[in-house]
Amino acid sequence: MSTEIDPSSCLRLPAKGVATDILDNEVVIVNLTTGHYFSTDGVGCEVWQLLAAGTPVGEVVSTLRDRYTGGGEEAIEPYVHDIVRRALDMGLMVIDDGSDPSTTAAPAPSDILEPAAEGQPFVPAVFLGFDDLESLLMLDPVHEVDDKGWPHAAPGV
Amino acid sequence: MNGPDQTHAAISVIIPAYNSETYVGEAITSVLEQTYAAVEVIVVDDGSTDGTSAVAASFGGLVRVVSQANAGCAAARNRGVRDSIGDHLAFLDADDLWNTNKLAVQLALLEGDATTGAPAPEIVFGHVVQFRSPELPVEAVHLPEEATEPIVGHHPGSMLLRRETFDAIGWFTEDQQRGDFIDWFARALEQQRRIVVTDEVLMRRRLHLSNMGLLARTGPEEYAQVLRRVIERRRAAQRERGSGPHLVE
Repeated sequence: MSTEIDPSSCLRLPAKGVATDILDNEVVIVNLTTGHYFSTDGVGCEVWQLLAAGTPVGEVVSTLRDRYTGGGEEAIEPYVHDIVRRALDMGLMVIDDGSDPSTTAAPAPSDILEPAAEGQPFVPAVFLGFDDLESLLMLDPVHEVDDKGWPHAAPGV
Repeated sequence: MNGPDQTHAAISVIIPAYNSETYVGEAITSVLEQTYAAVEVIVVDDGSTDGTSAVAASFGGLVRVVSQANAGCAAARNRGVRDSIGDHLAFLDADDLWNTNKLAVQLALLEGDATTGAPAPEIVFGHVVQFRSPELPVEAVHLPEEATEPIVGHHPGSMLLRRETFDAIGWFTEDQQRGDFIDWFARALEQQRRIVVTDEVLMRRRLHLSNMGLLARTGPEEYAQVLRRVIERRRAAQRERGSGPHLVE
């Protein structure tokens, strides 16, 4: 069952429990609570970056429509909505309801994405998810590495 | 004891340690109290500035201290492997503890059961329970009940394997402060190593203020960087072999 996505919705990363790394237009996302990890590149990474910056979902769609004019534009909205649903279902993002006073306004999409060539077709990127290292990710956070070493006793003990 | 032939398997135990004078003695003791004795215990002092080496050296006997400039946990484990003589390898973090039957249980599993004809496992893990270090102020950290339930111990301290298996999988990745074991274990999966996890609890993982910082999931970006490598290798393997990744929907 697909949930209706409000185009004015803004998303953000949860306060903790999700780690991301973006390199060469590919994002790797780790949900440290579930131990699942994800990857998407190309336009998928662009959608992720826009959403993570707080860009409203409708503006993400319109940004991509302006960006990819060489064909396939009809697939943009369902694609963006699919990533939104996955991000919410997998606990990778939460709806920003404005209750967090530290949240700042989203930068303009042109400040987030690299310029694209004119007339590019829209080519959806696969959003991959993996669960095979779940037990490690749940257990691995073992040693804090700091100048006190690992492990060390509590201060004053 | 009803364990494997004591003369058959030579197990080297490697304990990486950095400024861990408070706990390393307990860790070593838990190794020396094993019902199946290791042939050596190598404590790799990773550039400690406290009394870690002195505490470890005070045990004498099977316990040997190897010192190196601070290079991180993975480098310390690798150093221990390089300096070890055993044909089996086990690791224990300096703040954690083994149950006394840890090596015996795992060695028996690693030897396999000839009556079944099934291939013996190549890597054996146990279950792990976490415990609150006695000095950890109760009021400082909320420890949910489920945190003390046994969990699958895909953790270096819960592992026993033959040296030849380790050699085939390769060294722990030294350029990441966190997540080096994730990368190593992923390589074991990619090589389709036979891995079993016994239901028995074999290791006790100490929760203390230092690692509770990580449980709070602060600054975990390195995990994503490690997993990027894993994903890249899988994509390459998929292109070569057409094998699929484990997907979640």
